[in-house]
Parts: sequence; C-alpha cells; structure tokens
Amino acid sequence: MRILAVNAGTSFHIESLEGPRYHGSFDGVIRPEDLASVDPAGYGALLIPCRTPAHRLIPHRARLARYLHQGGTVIAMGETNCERWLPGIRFTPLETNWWWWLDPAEDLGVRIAAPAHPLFRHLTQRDLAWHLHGFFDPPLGAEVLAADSEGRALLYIDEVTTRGRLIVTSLDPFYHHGHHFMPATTRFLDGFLPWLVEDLASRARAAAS
Amino acid sequence: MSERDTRWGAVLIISDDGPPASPLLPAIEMGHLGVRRQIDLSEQDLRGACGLITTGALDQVDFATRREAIAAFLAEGGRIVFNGHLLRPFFAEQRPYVPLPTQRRADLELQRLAPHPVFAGIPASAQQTQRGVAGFYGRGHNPMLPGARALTGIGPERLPVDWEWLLPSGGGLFVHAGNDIWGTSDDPLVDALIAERLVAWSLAGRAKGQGS
Repeated sequence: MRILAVNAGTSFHIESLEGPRYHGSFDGVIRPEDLASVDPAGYGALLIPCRTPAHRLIPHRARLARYLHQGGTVIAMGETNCERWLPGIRFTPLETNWWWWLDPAEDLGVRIAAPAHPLFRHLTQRDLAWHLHGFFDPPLGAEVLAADSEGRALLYIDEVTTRGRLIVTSLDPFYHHGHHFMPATTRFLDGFLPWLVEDLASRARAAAS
Repeated sequence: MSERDTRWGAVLIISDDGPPASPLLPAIEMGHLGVRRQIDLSEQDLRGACGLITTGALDQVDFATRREAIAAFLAEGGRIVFNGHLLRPFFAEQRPYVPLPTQRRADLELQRLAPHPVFAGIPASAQQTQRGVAGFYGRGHNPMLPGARALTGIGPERLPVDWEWLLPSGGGLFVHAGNDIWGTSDDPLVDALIAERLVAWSLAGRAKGQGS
C-alpha cells in the first residue's frame, strides 16, 4: 500500500484526505508545490484529487512525466483539467446537469463498461452516478471502465501512452464527499480506495516475485 | 487575469482555475475589486487592500500560514469575506466547521437573525432553495468568534450559518458556511446584489480609517 496524495488545501481536500474515514488510505500527503522537491518514485501511485487546480500542477509536468516513465501510476480525478498537465489526454467538457435526479424517471446514463474489472468487486453502477462534467477520448489500447449513455469514457486506465499507468476520470467524488453531501461519492471512495490499495499490493507482489 | 492596482480596494482571491463568478464581474469592471490568484497573493496585497474576498476554493493550508499578516490586516481595519467550511483556522480562537448531524428539510431551514446591510430587503426565502432543493446555502456552521453577531440561522437551533465579527479598528470577518454566497439564489438579481454589497462591506473598515 503506497499512495501519495496531493492536498491543494481546499476544505473538501482537507476533509477527505485528513478526515477519519480515508486518511489511513494514504501513505503520504504533499502539497502540489512539493512536487518540485518530492520524488514520488517511492510510491506506487500518485493521487491527484478532483478539483486540484491545474495551474498548480502544470509547473510539475516534467516530474510527473519522469514518474510515469519509471512505471508509476498517476490517478487524475475530475475537474483537474488534466489534459493540461498529463500526456495523451483528450477531454471534452459538458455542461453539467446538476438537476437530473429531480426527475425520478431520469437516468444520468453512467454505465460500467468493463464489469469484469476488479474495481467492480468494490463498486456498483449506482456508486458512479452523481454528475457528469465531460468525457474523454482515450488512446487505442486503453481500458474504459465507465462510460456515459453514448459510450464515451468517464473512467479509464491507460498503460499505452507512457511506460507507467494513467487512471483518469471526470468524476469528482472528493469534492462532494468532503462537502458532506452526495452519498454516492462516499460510496465511490469507499470502493475505489480499497481497490487501489489492493491493486498496488498485488502489483508489488508481482514485481517482487 | 486582471492585475489592477489593489491599493485600498478589495481583492478577490481566486484559488481555482476558473474565472471570477459572474455576480462579481461588475465590481471588477468598475475597479472596486481587484483579482489575485492565491499563489500570487503577496504581503503587499494584504498591506494595500481594504478587503479580501475568498471563495469556497480557498487554499486554507496556505491561508493559515499567513496568520500573522491576517491578524495585522484585521487589526488595521481590513475586512475578510469568508465562504465555505473552515477547516484550517487562520485567526486566533477560530474553531473548525461543524456539519449538521442530520440534513432533513427542517434542518436546512434558514432564518435571518439580525438586520445587516448585505441582506437588507432580501428575505432568507430568496436563498433557501435552488430549484426547490435546500442545502446549497449551508449544511452546517463555522463556530462564531467571541463577540460575533449571528446574521442567518440554520435549522431549528438557528445555528449561525452567517455571522459578522467586527473589531474597534473597523476590521472584521463576514463568514458564510456554505457554497459561495453570491451563487445561492435562483434569482440572479439577488446574487448580484449580495455580491455588490459584500464588496462594499469589505471596503468599509479600512477605507474609513484612511479617510477615503
């Protein structure tokens, strides 16, 4: 279990990263600016929570690229404008329909696209549905885990663009969880973080054998 | 981003990637409100400004490291508008945000508790819901500083979701514990009025002290 998380200092970041529910999931927490001096190479994954400002990550693009080249995993969550600081990202923003849930007949349209993926031993489709902020056009060879009603990627894993791994999503669970509302976002983190811990442990075992 | 001269004006601290919220644009256009990215906010900005307006995206870790400069700013008549959940106190005796234990509709009911120029003529009902949904205005409170005055209460206990704390210097805090307060109404005119009045409020303390 080796996750290094970035804390940009907004209330929901502090609540999510330091609050009792998830703080044990993170082996290190740094500020975006610490990427100038902290090498994440000792960690299995570098987690950039949703809504971390891109202007605070752009100065560290070279550090992130080196980490990926060394085989690291970068997780970029929603509303981070990650196309501005990670390679190979093609993102199309959508106007958010904040109100879809007011109509009981309405369906946000989020679908699990790879039900056999181990992540979905921890998450159900309803744990992915709160808002949509946009979709990605992942590179050929990437694995799309969740998509919108038109099949456009909302969560995918890219192991082809770099020698490392990019886990990219337009979902923004830290924001809502850290603001104490939107229960689906807490369910998402309840499943996503344990999966990530398991996944990193499994990769570490495989690398050691 | 605008790089206006902020001396003796108000400064909007932008902490995210986005542009300023539209209700604040008229004050920026008229030159009453300068704009600084938080990562560029200097001690000179603090010394020169009358007021600081922060958003829910504030980097509170950074802001808390400026405690001494903030204390001096307030003591010299500066005013701060704070939006959001306070998790990193930036002033002595502040305590962190307390979420409501339950969030039923009655728990989210708003009530004005004291008259204040920011809310004059604006009933709490104008900010109670958006599209019929309550909770955007607040789901808890930032505990008041000793001597503060509760302005808007939430829930049956009327917990202070908005409060004002003023010093003899004219400096002080306007604290709102929810989404940015200029974006909490279905009526854009209400949001615009709140924004305009908050800018005026933030200017009042230090401008008086300067006789300007």
